[in-house]
Amino acid sequence: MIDVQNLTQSYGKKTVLNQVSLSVNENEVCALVGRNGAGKSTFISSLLGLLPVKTGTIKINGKERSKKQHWENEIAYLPEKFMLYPSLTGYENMLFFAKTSQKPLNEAKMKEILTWVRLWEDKDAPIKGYSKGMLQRLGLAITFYQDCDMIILDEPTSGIDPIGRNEIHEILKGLTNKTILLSSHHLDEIKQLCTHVAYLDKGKITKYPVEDFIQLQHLGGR
Amino acid sequence: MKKILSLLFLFVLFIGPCRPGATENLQSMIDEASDGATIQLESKTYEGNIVIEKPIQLIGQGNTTIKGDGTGNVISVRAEGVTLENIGVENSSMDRNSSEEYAAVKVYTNGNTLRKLTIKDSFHGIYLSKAHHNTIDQVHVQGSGDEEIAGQGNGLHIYYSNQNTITNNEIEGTRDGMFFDYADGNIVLNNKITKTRYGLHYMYSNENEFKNNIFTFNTGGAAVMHSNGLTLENNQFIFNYGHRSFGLLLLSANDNHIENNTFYMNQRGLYIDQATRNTIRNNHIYQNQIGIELWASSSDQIFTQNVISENTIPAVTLGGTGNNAWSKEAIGNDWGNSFPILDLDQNNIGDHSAIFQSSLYELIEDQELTYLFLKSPAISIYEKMNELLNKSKIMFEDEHPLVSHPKKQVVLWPVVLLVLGIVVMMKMKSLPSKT
Amino acid sequence: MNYIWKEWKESVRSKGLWLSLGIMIIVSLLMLSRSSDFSLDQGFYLLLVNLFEGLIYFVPILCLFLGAFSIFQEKEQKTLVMLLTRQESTLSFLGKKSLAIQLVLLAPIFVWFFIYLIPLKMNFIVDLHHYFLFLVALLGFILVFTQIGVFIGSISTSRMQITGIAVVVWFYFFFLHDFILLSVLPTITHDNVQLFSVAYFLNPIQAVRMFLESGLGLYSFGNMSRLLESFMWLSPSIFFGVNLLFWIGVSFALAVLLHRKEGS
Repeated sequence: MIDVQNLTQSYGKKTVLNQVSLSVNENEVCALVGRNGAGKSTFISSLLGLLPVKTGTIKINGKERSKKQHWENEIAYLPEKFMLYPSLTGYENMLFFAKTSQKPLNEAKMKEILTWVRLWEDKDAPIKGYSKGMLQRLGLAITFYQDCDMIILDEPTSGIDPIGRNEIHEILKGLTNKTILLSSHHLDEIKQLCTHVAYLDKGKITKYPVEDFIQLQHLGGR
Repeated sequence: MKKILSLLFLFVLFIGPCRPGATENLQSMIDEASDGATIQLESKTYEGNIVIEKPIQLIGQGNTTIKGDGTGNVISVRAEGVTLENIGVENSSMDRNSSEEYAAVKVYTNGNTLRKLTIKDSFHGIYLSKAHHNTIDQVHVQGSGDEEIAGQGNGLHIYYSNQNTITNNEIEGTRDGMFFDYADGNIVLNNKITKTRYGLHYMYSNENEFKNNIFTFNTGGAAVMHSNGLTLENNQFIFNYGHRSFGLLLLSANDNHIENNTFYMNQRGLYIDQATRNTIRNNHIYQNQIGIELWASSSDQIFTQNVISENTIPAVTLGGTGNNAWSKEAIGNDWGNSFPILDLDQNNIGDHSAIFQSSLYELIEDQELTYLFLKSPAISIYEKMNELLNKSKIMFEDEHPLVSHPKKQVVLWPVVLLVLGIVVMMKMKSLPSKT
Repeated sequence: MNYIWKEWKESVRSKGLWLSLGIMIIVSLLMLSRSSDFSLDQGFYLLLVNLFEGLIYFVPILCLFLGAFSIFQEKEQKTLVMLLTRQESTLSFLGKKSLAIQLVLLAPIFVWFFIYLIPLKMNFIVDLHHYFLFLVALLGFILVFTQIGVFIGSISTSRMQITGIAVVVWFYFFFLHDFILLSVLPTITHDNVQLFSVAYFLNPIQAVRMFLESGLGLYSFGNMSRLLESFMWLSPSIFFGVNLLFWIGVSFALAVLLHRKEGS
């Protein structure tokens, strides 16, 4: 579970997040939605400890995050527009990240995940030859290998063609018993994948069940 | 029984095996030899010290060594016409407090030949004391090295000795390589001197010839002081490199001829102070930090037909403006790429003067630590800045600079093409792989 | 090991390392051809000195760029963020990454200069101890500038910024530092010469050069004046070692403290 209370973040004089609170419960798939520059990346960076938190609290599974805390065992994160290591192969990229973990290496699990994301046959090709969809699937594979209960995905289908997006949606639908925070601009994606929507606007977050949010959109309010 | 014991005693005394390395009494052998005799030494160690007072030849074999007892000269030559050849000599006294300066071989007489000697562990290597017309040839002197100055003497020390011939010797690691002190008319050819303080130290010695010698890795290549009429030709002064080192120093040295020498990779190629009327001609002075350091106390030097190129500073005049000539009979020096010089009439003489200005002279005069910066690229910026601020002074003006055709860069172009080819190939390889 | 393995794979498959090595090989061979006219014993030392003087012109800027871009790519590719949200902290990431960059750069250079011994031995009398000293000097030099490059990459947010800072750093060490010292040289006396000495040997180029030339026995300190004795209050080896530790330590510390996670 993610529990954020009264989080405030500013860049200079500009307040990006103003006493924001959000709870994402176990097994929820929550979309984080907002205009460009609303503060989605700031919120996610705060969650992950990439930005220092001066005001407010962040708890993951009931534990408050301290300065030295690593969420490796709790949260898996895939950023937006990542490129990984272009001159390495898909397998080598995954192997590198797998080895950074404190857990022992499990190559069988790597194979299983790469097969699931349909990259096993392309695993030995340098990823600079991958399409965007393939790259995104590789990123997901690296994320899933961590085997965390909580996953944060920052625009996982950004810049991908419709067929590629569908492939990724199928993969994400296959995830069970995971708490997911998913940043997205695509309503159809939110509708397919999410149970809730956290709407970030003017430094505040409002959380909706997904159906209510979709209805609000159709009424043309937001 | 008594007879048997006596016989045994006599046997041991006269015929029995000697201790390994035990020597025959060499001095006795010399004393017993007649004038003009040749003593063939065996390939073993003989105990010194010995004094030779008659004209004999002492010829060694591969491993013949005469080892001194450390109390004096190992070999003293006090007769004329002595030849010492193919012998190792070692272990003279190292006492520097004595009035006598000890050496491996000390020669007091004339007309002797010292050839193919290998000298080590001695204060001086060979000392000629008022000894004339001697030949020193193919002698190797090994000093203790490690920049030891006080604790050892010179490779060859020539004191009040004239008309000697010193050829093909190798000296390493002594205090000075060769020290000439009131020694005139000597001929010094084809010697190699390395890792000493001064490779050649000339004091009050005149009319000597010094040719085809090589000085490397010394604090100073050759220091010529208070000496006149020297001919220094075809020598190489290379890598004399320490703080304030030099290839050739002329201090109060006059009327010397410095010709066809190479001065390469020295701290200072030539260092001239209080010297007059020296001719410096046709030398190659390149890649030194200072090509020529000329103090204003020196005058009437003639620099002509030298190639002075690729030095950090080609020439610097210190202590005021001296009166020296940078050309003779309308022939100056080739300054390499130091100055852009036009030669439109293609007569190999520049159409205008080569003038060098520098602001470093003040720093060099006042602050010895300046030498530490001579290899720094900052020097060129320092010079340029001061030139713009009009703080530079003319170091020299060569009115007839020589202009040579640049050497063809034979190796450079193929390499450049090779690199370009590799870059193009890599670019082409990367093009089709875009998806 | 993981980082070293990854860095090695990346470097071997990219152009930067090979171009750098190629330039070094070409310069080494050119210097060898220039020195081959000299005698067997002189030529070896002439080669080492000339080679060093040739290498210091471009090795610093190459190392600055290689170190900086290697770090910056991790930001650009978002792999840095991925690593920081896993097991790594900024300190551990920069530590492992620095070690990997250094080893991957130093290893092929070391191998090349090992191979270089073959033509050297064919042309000159080689003193292995002195050759090893030359390698230590060169590799130490590379260590310093690569680490400074890591610092530059760590604090930069764009490639243009890296280029600008790297050029400024190179210009400072190559020209400006000594120029400043030259300008204050007239004021140096026995009272302040030690301080001046510290400033002089802060420049890695001077510290390494002095270490190399004195170690090769070329630069003698016999018959030093009092001023020079005060100036050389430590041996060249110690100045070299301290310089190495100082710049590597300071660069690394500043890289951690002033680190910026995102590139533009």
